[in-house]
Amino acid sequence: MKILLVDDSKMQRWVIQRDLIKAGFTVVMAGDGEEGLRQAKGEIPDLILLDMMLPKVTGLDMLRVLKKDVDTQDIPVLVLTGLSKGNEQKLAKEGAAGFCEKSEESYKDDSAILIQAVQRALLTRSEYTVSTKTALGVT
Amino acid sequence: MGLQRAHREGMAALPDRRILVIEDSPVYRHLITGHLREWGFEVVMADSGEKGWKILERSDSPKLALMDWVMPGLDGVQICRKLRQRNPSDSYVYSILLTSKDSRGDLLKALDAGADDYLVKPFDEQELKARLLVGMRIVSLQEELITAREGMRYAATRDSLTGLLNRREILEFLERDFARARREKRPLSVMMVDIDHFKSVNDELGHGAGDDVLREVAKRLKAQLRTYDGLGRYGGEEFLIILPGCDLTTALIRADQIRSGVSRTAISTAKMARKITLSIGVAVGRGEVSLELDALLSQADSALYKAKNAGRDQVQSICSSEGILEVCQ
Repeated sequence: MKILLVDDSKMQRWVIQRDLIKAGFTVVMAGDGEEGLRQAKGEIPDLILLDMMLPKVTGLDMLRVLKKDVDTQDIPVLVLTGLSKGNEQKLAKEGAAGFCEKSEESYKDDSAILIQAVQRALLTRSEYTVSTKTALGVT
Repeated sequence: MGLQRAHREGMAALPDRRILVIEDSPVYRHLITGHLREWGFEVVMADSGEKGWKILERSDSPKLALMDWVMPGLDGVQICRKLRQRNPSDSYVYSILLTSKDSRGDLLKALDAGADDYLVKPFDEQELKARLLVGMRIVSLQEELITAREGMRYAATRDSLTGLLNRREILEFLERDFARARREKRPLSVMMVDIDHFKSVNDELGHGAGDDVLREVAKRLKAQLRTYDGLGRYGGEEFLIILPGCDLTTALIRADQIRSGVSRTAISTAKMARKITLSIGVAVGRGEVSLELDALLSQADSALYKAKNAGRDQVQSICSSEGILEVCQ
């Protein structure tokens, strides 16, 4: 499983990347929204972990572009957010698959919550794929 | 139990009955002190606002203050205002203003300045007593709140199993000390420490034994560090150690001392004693080389990986020279 991690903090990228690799994922990384979009189209990851506060193209802009592009619209996007519930609803409308609450520095906490959220989002996606396939009569 | 000890413990349980009286009038000082002593208060006296403030600035100042509004120099309202401007982490002082001013405007002015209560002279002594008891109740609630908050703050920074700094705190320690090392152009060493074959401890002896091992390793690591070194549980069976001011040579020596110090004697768990070894990856950020924090952590991590692959129970390092990675050991 390949995960694209888009975050502008090097330290945060390092910490999350290491946790993901330990949990058995392959990780590609981007430090801003532009690079993130390039990587998303080029790598077609199984999941995108997206920080909302990004330079150049913001996380929200990036999410919108991803959901409009046929190549990337099916990739679940897990939003790393410190934002309020109200914004979460807005992001869900924009197509985010899930959220991982982070207070200012929560990436420094134990990785279990993040890994669980990633696994849940991937599971939901595969269930979705399976049920769609069943509905379409594809095996 | 000896009488003395019982006495001491009894004393400790007693509430703080000290009260600071700031009053410039000798007549009122005499009158108030008489009542307060009679009610069992321990009176700390100041005959001017300035002297009163000096006492309030001490960390062991009384938490209850009764002060006159009108005094030459620093008056009661000004003291209240100064008290409320203090750092909120300072302990709370419950203040009662004593005054002959009794208009509604005066009352509002006093409360606005931060006074907790207000009593008009000449006062009814029973009313004063009742109000002081309210003050004591508020002060003791405040103290309980502070104790609870401090307890929670402590818990939020600690790993609950080992009592060491948790991942967030040790990474913040690293960020702080890394920035300082850069400013001061001093070296900073980072060690990524991993317990060898920890999974087999859990699998063979159970998670309880695994927890015993983690606690004991944490204790042994801590025993070998200086007070200004950083030590935290990074996660699972991994620890992060930060040695400010340590260059590579020193860090390698210390890492090996730590390694042998932990593995020297077997660790007894609830089930059985077991020899535990460590693999340690060392990386050094030197003040003059601009190495990013993530690169420093990567180097420590790679060095740890190298130690694992080379057979565990050892120290390895990788250091960078002008951006080129080279093996140092």
